[in-house]
Amino acid sequence: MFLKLLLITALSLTSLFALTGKEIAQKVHDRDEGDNSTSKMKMTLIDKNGKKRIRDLKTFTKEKGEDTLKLMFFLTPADVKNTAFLTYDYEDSDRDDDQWLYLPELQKVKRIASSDKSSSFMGSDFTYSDMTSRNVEDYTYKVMKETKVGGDKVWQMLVTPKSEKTVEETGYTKSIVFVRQDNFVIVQALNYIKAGKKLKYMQVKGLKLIDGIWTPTEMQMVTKKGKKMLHKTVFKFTEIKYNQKLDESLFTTRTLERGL
Amino acid sequence: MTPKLLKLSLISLLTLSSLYADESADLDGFGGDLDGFSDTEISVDQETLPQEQSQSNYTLSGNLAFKTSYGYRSHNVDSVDYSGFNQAQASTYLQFDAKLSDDWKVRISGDAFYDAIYDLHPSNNYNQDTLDTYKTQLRLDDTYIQGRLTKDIDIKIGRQIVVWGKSDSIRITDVINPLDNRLPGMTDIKDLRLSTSMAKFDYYIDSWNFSAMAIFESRIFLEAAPRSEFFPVDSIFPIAPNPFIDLVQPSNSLDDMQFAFAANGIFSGWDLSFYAADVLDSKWHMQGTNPSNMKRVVSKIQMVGSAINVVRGSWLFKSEVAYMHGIKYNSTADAKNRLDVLVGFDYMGIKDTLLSIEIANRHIFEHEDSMSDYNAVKPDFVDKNELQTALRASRSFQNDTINANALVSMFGASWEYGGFARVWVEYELMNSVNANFGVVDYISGDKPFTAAISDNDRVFADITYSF
Repeated sequence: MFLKLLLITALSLTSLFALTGKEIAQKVHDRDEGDNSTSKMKMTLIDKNGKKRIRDLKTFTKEKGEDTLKLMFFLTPADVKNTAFLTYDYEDSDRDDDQWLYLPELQKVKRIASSDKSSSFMGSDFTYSDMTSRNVEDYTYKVMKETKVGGDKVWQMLVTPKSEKTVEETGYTKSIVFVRQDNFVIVQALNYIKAGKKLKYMQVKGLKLIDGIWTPTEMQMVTKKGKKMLHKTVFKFTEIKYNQKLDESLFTTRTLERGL
Repeated sequence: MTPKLLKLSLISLLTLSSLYADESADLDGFGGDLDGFSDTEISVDQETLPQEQSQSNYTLSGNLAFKTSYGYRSHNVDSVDYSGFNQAQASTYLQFDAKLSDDWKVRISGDAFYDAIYDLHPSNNYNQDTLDTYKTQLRLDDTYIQGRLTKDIDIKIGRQIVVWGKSDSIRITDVINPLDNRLPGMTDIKDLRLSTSMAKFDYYIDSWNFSAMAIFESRIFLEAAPRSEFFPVDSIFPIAPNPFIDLVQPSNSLDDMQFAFAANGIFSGWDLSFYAADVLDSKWHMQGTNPSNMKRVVSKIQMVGSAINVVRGSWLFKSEVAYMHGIKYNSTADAKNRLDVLVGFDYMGIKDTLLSIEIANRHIFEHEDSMSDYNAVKPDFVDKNELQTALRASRSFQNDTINANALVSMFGASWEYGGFARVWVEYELMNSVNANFGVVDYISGDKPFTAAISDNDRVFADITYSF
């Protein structure tokens, strides 16, 4: 009996320990995130005094080979309504993403130089790098320990950029990520910001299995300096739909100009 | 369990443990930081929770705004003192959108303003041109129907704005819509272009878009009122009759019909456009020989041009070139041809910051000395080569709550012809309420126009509620 228990334990540990940090990262990267998806996103920006600003967006995402096409339209508030953002997120880290911004006030599609992704995404605590997938090869990974987040077993990993170029692009010198062992979703992350000794805490607050795909339905990012909260952003996703009929022609500057 | 098997199992476990230990990182130094997760619990109020929203096919949006400005230098034009508060404008903009189907939309929009300053300063004897230009406005803006004829062909008919070119601060190929020049250096870029009635067809194939426009409204620029603070004609022209020479509005006749064509290619890392247009000039010229029968008219010009964007890392390079044919001037009998060339770049490598520089040169072919002669009866004040530089910087703070901006626009190779510098800060007071305040410095130069308005410096502020 004891032998059986020991063997089962050993086998279980083998299956877990067999994964290196990089392999876990690769599984996170390769996790099915769905294709041809649409959703609505409510972005709540909360400053240190509790003052809130709210933005509603409609998002469209499509996979094109290993690359990802993303389209976002602001629905509210009125002063940014119809502002739209189009991204071609290339898997090849040597290739700059293509990004265009449509500003309805100017009625002009403007190309954005996207190499620097450390800037705030639309005023939120998320950066453009947080909104795009990271290239696995750009980082080193070390499993720190196994622990639990919200009752679920996770790997706690230290993720360090291999090059100063990646640090410059993302603005993060290192991150500690918490990856759920059952579904390879990053449910928590602590990001060390290069400038200003600030920390960013990302937490997935809602996670649902939709059409067989683990989908974050609520995320927050809190920027702190020491113990003090500087700013906080909450993303809530609704009306999440996968496998929609999204033609590649939707992801063009023509759509930005035409609007929804 | 046999001792041998137990030993094997323990060895396996120890081996696995050592493997795991190799993968483990030193935890020192992270413990305190990781505590930050525990106190990041937030509660989001019920009203912020997302709800399934049924989107209406009809929307009414717009804004209410109040603008004011204060001239901090003493300056008089036509016996009117423009120092002190010189604007107290309340305005509104309304926009109605109807989505008729997935492919067809209608927009109707308009704006109105009333500037109370002209009633608050009753002792100032403003001339009628000034009151007509600045006191009130009621205007139809974008008003069009837009649809998809086939999968590849779009059509848009009505008053609309078409932006050409890749530059942001200096216009080279952007010749389709006239500009609002009533308050140079002060007009928001969103209000700068004037909507014009046209039929526009777009054909999309692969990475290219081919566009054709028939512009049937002969709308021209809005200029500062003669003998107002931004157009002190007596300080600019040797002969300036009173009232000043009439600006003739072109008729909406078939002869004045304008046409334009564009081909826009969007590629990975770069964009390329080609343009051709037969449109009204963006400036007037004088017709007639003596002040009593002189008129100011806007004639048609022909333009071919190109614009390109190239992205490399954090740099966005942009260039435009336009060859203009048939530009008429005050001091010459012949129309001239002109080559406008622009180079510039945006740099976005600094967090939340945009730095931009654009430099343009306008070269007039067969330039005549009289065109540069400031003492000519009908002067043009233009050199064979005219250089313009625009520098722009903007940075957002506090999660886009505050946006600080600076723009310098100067004329001349060494900025000797003057220009203006504007610094302003936009502040988001709350959802949909934005305030804006700043200062404009009109920099004097060796040209009568910039010298004449160099004391128009002012601080300004506005507040806008959008709905």
